[in-house]
Amino acid sequence: MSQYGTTSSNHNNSNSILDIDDDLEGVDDFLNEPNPFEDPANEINHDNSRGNAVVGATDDQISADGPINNNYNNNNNNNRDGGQEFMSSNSMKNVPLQPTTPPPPLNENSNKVENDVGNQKKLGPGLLNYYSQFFQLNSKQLISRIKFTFKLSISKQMRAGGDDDNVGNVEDLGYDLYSAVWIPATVIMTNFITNGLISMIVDNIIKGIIIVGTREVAKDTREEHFVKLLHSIWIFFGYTFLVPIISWNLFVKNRMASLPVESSSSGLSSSLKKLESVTDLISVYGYSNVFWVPCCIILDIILECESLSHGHKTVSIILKVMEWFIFVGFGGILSLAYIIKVIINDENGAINDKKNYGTFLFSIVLHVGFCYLLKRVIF
Amino acid sequence: MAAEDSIIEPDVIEPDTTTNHGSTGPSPSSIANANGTANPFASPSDPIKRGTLDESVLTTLKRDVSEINSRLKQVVYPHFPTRTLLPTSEPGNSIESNVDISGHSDLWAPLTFIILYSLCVSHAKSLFSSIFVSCWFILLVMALHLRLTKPYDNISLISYISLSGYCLFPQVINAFLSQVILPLFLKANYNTWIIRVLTILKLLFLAVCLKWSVTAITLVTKCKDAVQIFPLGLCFLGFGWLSTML
Repeated sequence: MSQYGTTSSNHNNSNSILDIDDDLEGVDDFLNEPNPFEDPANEINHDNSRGNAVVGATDDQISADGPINNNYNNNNNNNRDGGQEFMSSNSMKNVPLQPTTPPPPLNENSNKVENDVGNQKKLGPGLLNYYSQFFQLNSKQLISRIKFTFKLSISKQMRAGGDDDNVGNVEDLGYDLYSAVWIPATVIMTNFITNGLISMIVDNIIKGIIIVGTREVAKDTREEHFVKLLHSIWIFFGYTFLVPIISWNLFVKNRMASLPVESSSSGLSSSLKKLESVTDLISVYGYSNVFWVPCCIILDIILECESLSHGHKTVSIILKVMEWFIFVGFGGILSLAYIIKVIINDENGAINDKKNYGTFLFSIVLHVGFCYLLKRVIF
Repeated sequence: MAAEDSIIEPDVIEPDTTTNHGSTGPSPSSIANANGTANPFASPSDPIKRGTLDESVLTTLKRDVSEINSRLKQVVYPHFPTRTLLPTSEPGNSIESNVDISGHSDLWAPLTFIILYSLCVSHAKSLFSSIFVSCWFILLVMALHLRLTKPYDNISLISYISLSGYCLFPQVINAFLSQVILPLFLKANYNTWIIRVLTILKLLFLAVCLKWSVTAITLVTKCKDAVQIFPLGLCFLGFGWLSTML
């Protein structure tokens, strides 16, 4: 740095050593001209150079790293410069690129991340980074939301927000797409693993025989397991993503727009944010799948017990009743209850409103169809 | 200082002396030093030679395998569950090695591992294509998850796919042991106790390899929160359970 500075100052002072013209075109022909890098108009104020350089680097990073960094750095720059907007493109061209300041870890500064996430709404839905705002949550928030799902479903009240629904920090409750992706994935894997693990323990370890493995008899069983896994994938993810999208576009979207702002505020306002977009509704359906995790474990145990009962009538009937009770009562009704309660509460608790019947019936019919598919294909 | 600046060394174009095979050419290390980065096509025998057209297939394969192995030494080997069997990287080089790891994005190793895994699990029969496609899909899902939950890390999606693919290596070992090696014992001596022991061994291999994969990808991608780690573990559990169960 000092070397360059010394050289440039020597040029302007027309040093005697460099004052030699060799009659050839070269550097010495421009020694008497002003150095454009020392032009006061282009000079960078070092107090603000960091922030400006960040803008320049951000502009460069948009293509390489995506607009998330742009928002982050822009936010930092705005905070530093008192809400100063982006510089003009001319000034940005003259600013040398400098490394951006490393962003803080997600867990250490959640408020900062939330502000950044709020700014990301300016991104287009076609960008991958646009969807990262729906995946910004920590373990504490996830646990709080799952707890709230259980509490709301088993609550006798249609409207949440009472003393019964006091689940941890209210600010932790909200919607995300993480649940819509990974809770159904957990259900699928739980069903796949529990089913195989129980049969492996009973047959291979306790009985000492091979049902699945290297024998010829195992070929159909292996393919059956794998095909069942694939079927469960499209059933769960189809239900979690397609049904909310259809439901939102057919019923909720228009009604939310027609409602006045005050009346459209959620009945869950004291505990849960109101539904604002289709992603929120997808999140609700995602969290509703959490009931199928214990349900799958219990059902697989019951099904294994049925195969071990060797056709004993009384035992078979009892196990069958338990199976249907768990499947319908625990899996089907509780997950539907959560969805209905959130939707109805979001409609300002207007359960008697005839306009809600469409959403209500649509959700029930599709949920029954989903349960039928589950029972028919998977269990 | 001014006197030093006035001395301008003349630009001299050196004659091309590398007509014969590497007799006078610079070594690859010197090329790397001069340019700042290593030339991937520079070979010890002849730096002018580019590509792999002039070398035997065996040489290419050997070099690719050694490159995959050197990357496994960075990503997977040090994170074996016992951590005492293999040497770990020096703490002083951790930052540099992490930058190097995340900047690397080859897909040869994931492709190799997925083919090996699919061959082992499907027994080279009907399920091969389904498992092959499913494996790539799961790697893509893992990479998307990392990209979406860690948007501030300047790591591309392809790099995450590559990293996830490298961390698949323990699952390939698990599949090979569970589907190829252990059934050989069963063919040799078929009785109930052998079945019990082999089943327990399968579960043991599953647990060890799962821990190995999850530890490797957690440390390499610097995931800290359970929200970030859980889906990765779930995907690797799916890989492991497929090779144990099918």
